[in-house]
Amino acid sequence: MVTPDFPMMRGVDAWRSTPDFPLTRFFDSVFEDVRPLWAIGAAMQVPPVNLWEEGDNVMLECELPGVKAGDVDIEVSGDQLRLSVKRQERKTDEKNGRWLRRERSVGQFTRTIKLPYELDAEKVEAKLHNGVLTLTMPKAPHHRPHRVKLLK
Amino acid sequence: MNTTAIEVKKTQPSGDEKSERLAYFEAPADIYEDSDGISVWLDTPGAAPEGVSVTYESGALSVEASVIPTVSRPQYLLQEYELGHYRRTFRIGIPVDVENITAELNDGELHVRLPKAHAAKARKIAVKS
Repeated sequence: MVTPDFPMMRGVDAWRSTPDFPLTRFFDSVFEDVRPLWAIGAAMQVPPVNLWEEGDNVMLECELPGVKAGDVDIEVSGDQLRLSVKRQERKTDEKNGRWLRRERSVGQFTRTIKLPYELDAEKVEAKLHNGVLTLTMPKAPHHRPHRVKLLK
Repeated sequence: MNTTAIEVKKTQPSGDEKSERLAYFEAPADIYEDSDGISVWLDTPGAAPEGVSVTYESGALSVEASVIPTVSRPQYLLQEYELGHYRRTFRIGIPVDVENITAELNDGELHVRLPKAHAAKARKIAVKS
């Protein structure tokens, strides 16, 4: 089992809402509900990750909407993975405008995850597509099954 | 012993089974209003342009973005979030130039631009004396 060395995630707020149920769907009104100032541009929370195994690889996925490849830093060492991400604030053409609603977070975070296997660091591949980061991390050779030939 | 075998029919849901089981989440939104229009940004990571639908009807903007998981139900070592489709609806309180609404999806961010109808734009009113 993997234990990320981070304190408990604070509920499912900034990055995820609870699934909504069609029958109780209410419209958000753009003008009626203006968030109080302190909530605007909320500080970035650490995005959650999913980890699973695929054959000889450990896979990781993480949602990073609005993040460019250059703003992601991945470091692999032994059985540790360090992920640093920066999300830039949305620049607006200041045409006498105002924010009516601010729910998304910006900022920077670094997260270290200890994996159940040591990795073959040089073969780790990262892909950022449609705002989702996917890491393919091959296990170190000594973790892979090794066929033993019977000597005659 | 006399037993009658009962045939159990198993029906599979139609369509893409992987994405059908997903819940819908409310995509977080930023909304900015300027003199020419309203911009709505929604976080929809994992959604591809083909899976996005944006509709404007009777003053309400509805956005739906569907996600197709790359792997079906893996055995997670750690699962901190659930994959899901995105949905959000906003009531827009001003007249919109419907023909010119645009939507763009980049890096998992959907940007919908709603230009104001000409009458809704602020106009300087000359004061005659």
